[in-house]
Amino acid sequence: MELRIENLSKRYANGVQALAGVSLTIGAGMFGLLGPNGAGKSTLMRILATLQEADSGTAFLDDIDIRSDKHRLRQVLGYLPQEFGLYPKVTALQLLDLFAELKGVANGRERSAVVEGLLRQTNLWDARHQRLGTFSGGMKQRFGIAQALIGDPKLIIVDEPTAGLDPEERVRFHNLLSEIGEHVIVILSTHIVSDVSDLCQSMAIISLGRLVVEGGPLELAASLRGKIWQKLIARADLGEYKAKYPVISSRLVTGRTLIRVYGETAPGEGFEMVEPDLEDLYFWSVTRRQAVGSMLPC
Amino acid sequence: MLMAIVRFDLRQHFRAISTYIYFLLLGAIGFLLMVTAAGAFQSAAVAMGGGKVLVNSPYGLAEFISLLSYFGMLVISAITGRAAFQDFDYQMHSFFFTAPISKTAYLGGRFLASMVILVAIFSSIAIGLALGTVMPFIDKVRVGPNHFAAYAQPYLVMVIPNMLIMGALFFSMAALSRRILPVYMTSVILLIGYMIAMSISNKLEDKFIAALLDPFGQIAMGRVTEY
Repeated sequence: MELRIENLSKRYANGVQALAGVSLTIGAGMFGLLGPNGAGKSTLMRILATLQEADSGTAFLDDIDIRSDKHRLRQVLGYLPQEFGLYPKVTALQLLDLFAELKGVANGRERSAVVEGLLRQTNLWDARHQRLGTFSGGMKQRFGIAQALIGDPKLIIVDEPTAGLDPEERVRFHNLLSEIGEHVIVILSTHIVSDVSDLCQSMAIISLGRLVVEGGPLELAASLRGKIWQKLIARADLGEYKAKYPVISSRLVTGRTLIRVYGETAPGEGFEMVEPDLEDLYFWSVTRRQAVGSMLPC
Repeated sequence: MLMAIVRFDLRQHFRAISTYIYFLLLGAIGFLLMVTAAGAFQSAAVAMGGGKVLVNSPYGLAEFISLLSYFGMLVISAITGRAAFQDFDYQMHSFFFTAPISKTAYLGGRFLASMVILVAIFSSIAIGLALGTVMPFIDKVRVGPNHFAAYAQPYLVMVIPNMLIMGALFFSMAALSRRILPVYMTSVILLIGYMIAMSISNKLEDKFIAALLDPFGQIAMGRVTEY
């Protein structure tokens, strides 16, 4: 089971280069696609989900050509879109039953077993007779996952599934995602770093339409070891530091600003070396890409 | 696949209040039209066929049923327009577009379901008319015996063909534009335009041309049945 993406490019009619020659090989397991909003994640997800046409490049799931053999891909695809709604007056049971039938679970008894299994797995069984219009954000997302899991898909794409969930629902959603078998490809696109560090064995960071880094989250973070420095500074000095050092992130700690800086050697007085985490890698690669991107046209 | 969508949509239609409102409204108008034509009110009159034919004669029923089905055009646009538009409205389209179903199954299922529900809704016209003929307060002289075929034939010849053509127009408008307002506006404009065209074309010298121009075929029916 392998998803091979080669040189995928997409430019929108308004001139935005959403994807510029992205190549990736993704094996079974949970794969995190991390990037800021507008990086091209959703475009990539939508192309892989056969909803959008790429301008050039290829994408294969084993021997299925995603760009030309859409119907075959859809038979093994589970997709949770970034933004979606549900018929407000239909119950969870009714809609999931329809989706199961559309995904090819034709036998009635088999279908009710599949639907019941998924509703129980997503903890929605008690709400099965509830109208979808009354569902909370978290329930809606869990219903979306139930829908994506119908018919044992080989490729599951979840696009920004945790955006807008409260912390408790996010944890519940993470647990749900982690239960998905290890023998299928799950692509999780997100702009939340902890989604990836909690769940994924491998990942890639995408920014301004290009792949910046890919690998395992731990190894990638470790690659910055010895190069991340932090310092507590006065809030007012942030601008000055940003001009002087390659600041990759800053956050407030007890009213003062904690900055993290990238440097091969100690950048200056008062900086202490810290153990890099995935967030450092993310901000480092995104800021670097944006610095390059502003100098060069894509 | 197609039938899965038809079954699902029909169930939704039968659970929607609007379905029953349309049904009752068209039925009520049919009923009122019939009792008025049959002389239930002294002050109001509906003259049909020059007042020389029975109100529930095949001719009379064809006139009434096709006349009322024009007003039903607003219902056709609402039902078929919604059928094509609802998935965009509710942001559900990604689910259907990533499912292994063909365009024919998806669009055909939606369209077929709306046709079935429209026939069910429009049947209330005949039911209302038929009820009107058995009311005790009407002038019995104007009413003949009821025949099922006289009620059914206008549906087969006029109402359902019109429904298919108009429904296909509204359905494709909504599916292609992914908007609903233009669909509603078109149906209103078509209805008003048809009323105006009817009164103009009645004055046309050449009845044959007028009959061909009439998109709903009522002038054609008048021409076929006159004298």
